[in-house]
Amino acid sequence: MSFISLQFALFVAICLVVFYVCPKRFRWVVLLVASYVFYAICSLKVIGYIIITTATTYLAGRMIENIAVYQRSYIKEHSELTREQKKEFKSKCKNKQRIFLWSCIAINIGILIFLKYANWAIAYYNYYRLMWFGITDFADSLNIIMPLGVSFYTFQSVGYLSDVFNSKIKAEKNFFKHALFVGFFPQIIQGPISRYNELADSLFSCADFNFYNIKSGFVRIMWGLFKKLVIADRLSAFVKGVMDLREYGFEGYYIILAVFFYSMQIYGDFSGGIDVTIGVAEMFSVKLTENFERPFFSKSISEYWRRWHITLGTWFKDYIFYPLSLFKPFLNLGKWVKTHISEGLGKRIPLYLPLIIVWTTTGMWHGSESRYVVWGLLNLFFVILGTEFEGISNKLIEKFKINVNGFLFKSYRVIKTFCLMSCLRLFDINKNTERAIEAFKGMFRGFDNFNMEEVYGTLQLPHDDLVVVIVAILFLFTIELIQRKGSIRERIFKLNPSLQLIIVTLFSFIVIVFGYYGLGFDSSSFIYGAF
Amino acid sequence: MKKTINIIVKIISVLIAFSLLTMLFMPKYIEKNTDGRITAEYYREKTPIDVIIAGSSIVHAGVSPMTMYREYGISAYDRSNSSQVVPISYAMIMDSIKRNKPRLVVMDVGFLYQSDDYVDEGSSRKSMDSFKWSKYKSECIKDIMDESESYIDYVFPILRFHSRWNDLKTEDIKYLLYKPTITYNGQLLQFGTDGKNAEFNQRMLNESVKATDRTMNYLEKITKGCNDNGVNLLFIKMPVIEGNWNNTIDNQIVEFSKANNINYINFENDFEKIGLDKNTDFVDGQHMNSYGAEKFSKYLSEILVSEYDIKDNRSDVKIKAVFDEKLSRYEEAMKEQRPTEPVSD
Amino acid sequence: MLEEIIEILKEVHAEVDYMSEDKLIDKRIFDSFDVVNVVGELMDAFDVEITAEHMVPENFNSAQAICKLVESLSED
Repeated sequence: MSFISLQFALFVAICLVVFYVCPKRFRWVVLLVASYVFYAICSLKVIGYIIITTATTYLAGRMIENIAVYQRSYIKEHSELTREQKKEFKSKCKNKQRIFLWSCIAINIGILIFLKYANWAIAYYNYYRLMWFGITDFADSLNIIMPLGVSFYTFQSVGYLSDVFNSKIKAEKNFFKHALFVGFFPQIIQGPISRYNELADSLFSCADFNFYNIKSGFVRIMWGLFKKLVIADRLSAFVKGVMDLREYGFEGYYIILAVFFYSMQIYGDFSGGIDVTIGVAEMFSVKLTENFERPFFSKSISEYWRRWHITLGTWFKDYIFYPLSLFKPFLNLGKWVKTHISEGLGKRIPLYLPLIIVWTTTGMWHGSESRYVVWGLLNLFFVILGTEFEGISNKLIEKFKINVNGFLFKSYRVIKTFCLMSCLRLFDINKNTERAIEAFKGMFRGFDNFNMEEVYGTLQLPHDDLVVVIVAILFLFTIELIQRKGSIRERIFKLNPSLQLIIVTLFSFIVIVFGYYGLGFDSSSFIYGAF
Repeated sequence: MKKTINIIVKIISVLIAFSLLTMLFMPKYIEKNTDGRITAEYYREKTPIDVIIAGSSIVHAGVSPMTMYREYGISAYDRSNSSQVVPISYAMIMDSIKRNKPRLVVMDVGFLYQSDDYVDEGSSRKSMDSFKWSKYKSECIKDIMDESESYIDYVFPILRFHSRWNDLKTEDIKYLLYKPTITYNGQLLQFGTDGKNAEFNQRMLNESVKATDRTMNYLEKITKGCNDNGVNLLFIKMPVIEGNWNNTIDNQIVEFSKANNINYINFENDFEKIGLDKNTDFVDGQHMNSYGAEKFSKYLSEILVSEYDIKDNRSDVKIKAVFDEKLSRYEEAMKEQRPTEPVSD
Repeated sequence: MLEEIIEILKEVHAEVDYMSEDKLIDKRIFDSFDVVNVVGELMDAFDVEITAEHMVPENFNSAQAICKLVESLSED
């Protein structure tokens, strides 16, 4: 069941009715049942994986917590223990907890790695056997069905477990509530990756029916559909066309346009989908974490990554970057380099080594091909460039007396970041690194070939659609600029109720009419002249 | 109480706005593709319809209910559309039976050569868009959809036609709320004579082509539907200069008719008896023009009156009033040679 | 101890008034790199072990909070 379908809308509507008809204390059960029905409809064959993840993280969480409870009561009862003994006991407990933590992580991340990379590994195995030993009997690739949302719920569960281990949260006692936390249906497809402490309250407490949540959620959904249907889906054929046909003279302006449009496409698609997710959750009075914060207004790459796919970024920061940067061997290596080689380098080791790992895994998370690793490391390169040259650029700013908070300088930084991030996405839209690099080079040549007729025809972005998409993008940016001063929805909902209705209805109509979905209208097929 | 009324008013306003939006985007079928109006105008009929003629475009070109009334007082309607497929015929026949029980259903079998996967979305739309909802419509849609279509698009046509936003014409505004009646009980007038360029080749279809099992199945359903409701059924094969027809299918129909005790009249060889002239009476090899239609309809009416005891309605004042008005419109158009379907490309 | 900590913090961002600022993380004055730098320095200077479980914004939002964290760790 696609997220953007009337079936899904119908499913949500039914769930909403059941949800609010049910007594409050059973509402979370409705959500659980709905989530599993949804999962079964989409991904019944591989529903076992999410159950394994739910069960293992639940059990490991309970065990880790039990050990912590035991540790506290033991120390309380044995007040005669010396400080050393206490410390020793604590570390013994911590080690036991560690066993549960790591075996559970191993199972779940193991499943994820297997699902994502098994076929990739087999392909490489075959390739190198052929290259090195000339063996041609290829191992068959596995028939792997990806469970819906596997990386999102795995990350969320591992984060949960890690929080329990670090005593940031208490482990969930009720298995079924835990199952709901892992499998809550609006966020299963594409996140956001929620934190237990942020989600649990609204997920399990289930507020009273409030029409405000319904209309607010509805508008959020429509806004998401606008981004996805009006902008993103309209552009995808063009972007793909330029990248596929690049060799046939579609370079220069074509690529520049495609790169710009791809940024709009992926943003509309991803953040639009998240808007739908958050809107649906809001209708159930569940508050999900925001995943985007107008990323295209970022002034630097690192700021961009704090505002794009926020929950993935913070997940990597909290559960990979921080632990790794506090990882003893890295710290020790840093110290050794500091004393033996150079202080500057030594200081950077506990910072950069984890970053390399973080960005490599971020890249791999986006896809199993090597181009994604290159993409990740290029991101890191620009992040580091930004930090390392901060001093120099600050001096330059001082020297030329640039007003850092001036509109011009801010715009320059925003545009620079946008262009850089857009170019990096060439790795996302090309089949491999070589093609991405070629496409990048192509941006600087072949300007004479540009012909709007090709855009309208071969590249499947007809004149009228181009106009619609440009107007829609301008509208999107205008709205985002206004959003800086606070939620637009809240402002709309302060208006006269009839006016609210008119605005919401009109906007919905715009989405319905200008959305790029369904069969195109080819009037010639209707002017079937010969009867 | 006041609050409830307020909510109801709001809901109704949104629904009205949504319907208007849908109406705006649905093709109007008035200045073009006029066969798309045949279904809609059927529901406007205020007088009883005694004869329903189902079939493809050959029917709405070649059967003139106005002539049938003028000459014999028969009240008839062409429930046809371009590229009609047999599930649509079934739905139309059953819809007519349930709504306005006719005495006789005449079905042109000339299109039954179609394969099961034959679909033409435009034609499906033209016949279904204004079809009133019933289980027949619902079943028909499910049967005629191709893979790219979805049922929900027929429930909410805006989902199908929203992409007409850059194709909207003044026609769409002009006929948003009110659409004039443009067909003549389903007939579309045409005056071309390009039939003169066609060669006689009435059974040019390869003999290996058969009416499919699904087609035969639907014929059985149609037969049963008519029998159960006490409605007579007549199969005809309209006269054409050249046709997608062969002996195989013709034999199938002959046998089916015998087995089910249905009359089957093949007009292929009756050009002389009817008085049809390929040089003056056909717009192309298959479709009669409106002069041909007058000749054929007269001939057909004679048979209907003598064999099926179809009532002469001319003595009924009410029916006469309605038909006289239509007739005068028809005759004026005939005199001016004003086609209902503008010349197609 | 507070002075020592402020010395360390000054190395990272000299322009901040650490006596009054209590939203170092929330206001994004410190990004994650800065936090890691500070943590490294703290561990060296006070011989404490800061682990992932202490990496929450509340522990790093102000010089006082950091001081408290280091104190609690050195007690163990």
